[in-house]
Amino acid sequence: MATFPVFDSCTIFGPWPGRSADLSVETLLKVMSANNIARSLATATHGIFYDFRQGNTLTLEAAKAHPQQLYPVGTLDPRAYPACLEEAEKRAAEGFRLFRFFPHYQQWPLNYAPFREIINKCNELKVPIAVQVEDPGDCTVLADMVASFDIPLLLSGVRPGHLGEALAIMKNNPRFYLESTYLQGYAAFETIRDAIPGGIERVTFASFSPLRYLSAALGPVVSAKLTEDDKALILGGNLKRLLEK
Amino acid sequence: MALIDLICHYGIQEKTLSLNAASTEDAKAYADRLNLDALCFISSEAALDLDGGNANLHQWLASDARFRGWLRLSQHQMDTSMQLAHKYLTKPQWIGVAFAQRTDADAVNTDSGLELINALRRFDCPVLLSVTSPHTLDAAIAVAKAINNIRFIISPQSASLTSNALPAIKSLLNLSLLPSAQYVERDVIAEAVEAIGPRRVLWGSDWGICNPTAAMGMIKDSAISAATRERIAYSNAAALLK
Repeated sequence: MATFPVFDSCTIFGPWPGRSADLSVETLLKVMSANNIARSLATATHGIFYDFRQGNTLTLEAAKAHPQQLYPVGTLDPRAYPACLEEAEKRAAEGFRLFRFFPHYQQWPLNYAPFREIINKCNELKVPIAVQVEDPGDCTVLADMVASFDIPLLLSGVRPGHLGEALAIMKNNPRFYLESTYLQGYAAFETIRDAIPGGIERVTFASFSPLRYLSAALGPVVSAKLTEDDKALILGGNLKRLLEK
Repeated sequence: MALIDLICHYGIQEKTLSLNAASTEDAKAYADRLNLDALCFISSEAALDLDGGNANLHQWLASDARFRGWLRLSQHQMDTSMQLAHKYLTKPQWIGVAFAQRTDADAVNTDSGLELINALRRFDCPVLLSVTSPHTLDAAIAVAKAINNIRFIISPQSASLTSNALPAIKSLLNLSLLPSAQYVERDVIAEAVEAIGPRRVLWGSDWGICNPTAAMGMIKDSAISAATRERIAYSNAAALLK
């Protein structure tokens, strides 16, 4: 376990399709407490799988009920165009710190006109975004779409199999960050450090807890052959800096 | 906690081409650090070159007494597979046989697959089957039913396959589950223990592809007793290794 408070850039709460596991806010808070996770960016699963507006309302309620532990992260569904544009404006005004997109779960392609427009809106609103990029090629498509953006973009769902692609993108665009959720590959963090100057400063710890085992997400970071300062950056420093921008 | 890592990977891995490759020294350091009794390796090279890949692994296993091997075989190469079985399975470094069902075309419940696995009964060793689709899960189950005096182990390669496997294998006492930390959602380990019993849940880290601390975290966070944790992490594997 890390010996300093950790910030988690991706947690969820609510029902999950086909799973009867308890993924309630209470479970999330319990898991955070057990693992010294000081704060997490949380998203209601209703927003991913059912109705993004209802999900964002639930997210805001949870964050207001637990302001010391949870930051609200909204989700915007580009399939609900143009309503998703109004939702982005509304939630940005309410203090949402990040917007997340789930093309893989919602089954829409990244090269998608409503998505282009909504992320441009996020850029205007100056709200960072996180995008699920689970397949090879996803990062490349995204990179071409956001070349002139000002906001940080978090690549979510990158696995060792397409880490090389993510590294190539990050090397050429300083706006891209990497979430650690599936970076369980052997020596993944060392590879990022060696491949990208300042690369460690653009990695955020993301557990996808309580759906995924939190210790399984923490272990690879804590045990990586990095300096303690670098680990501290991944485990919270980078995310804090990103949110303060 | 006593540990045996039932699934480690030797050789260049397709999934981690952009990462620094793990070395022999890394494997030994891992074994030293966590006081592992054994690490059980599968050769990725054998997917291309069944003979050469397994031979290279056999040679490498000699570099540490804790290193053990899964002999990779293929129902698409019957003669070579039988030759390799006779050559290696009598040697103590080899703990069993592995079949990689990478696509539905590799499903082991074909005539040749059944013939090959049946012929392996004489070696009295477990058979490890990777499961990459519902079809290959069905294939694994069919083979375990057909040849019920061999101990089979399935390693599902996705979260949904891991969850779906549990009810499907519940009544098959000769079929155990080896979940991968790459895919497992919380708390599938506890669910597996409840569904199929603690003696049929195994542990491995996918070292060589994954950082083993992810698999450690998986078992640490599971809502199971300390005794069950020890059984999954060690005793069940020790029984396989005899």
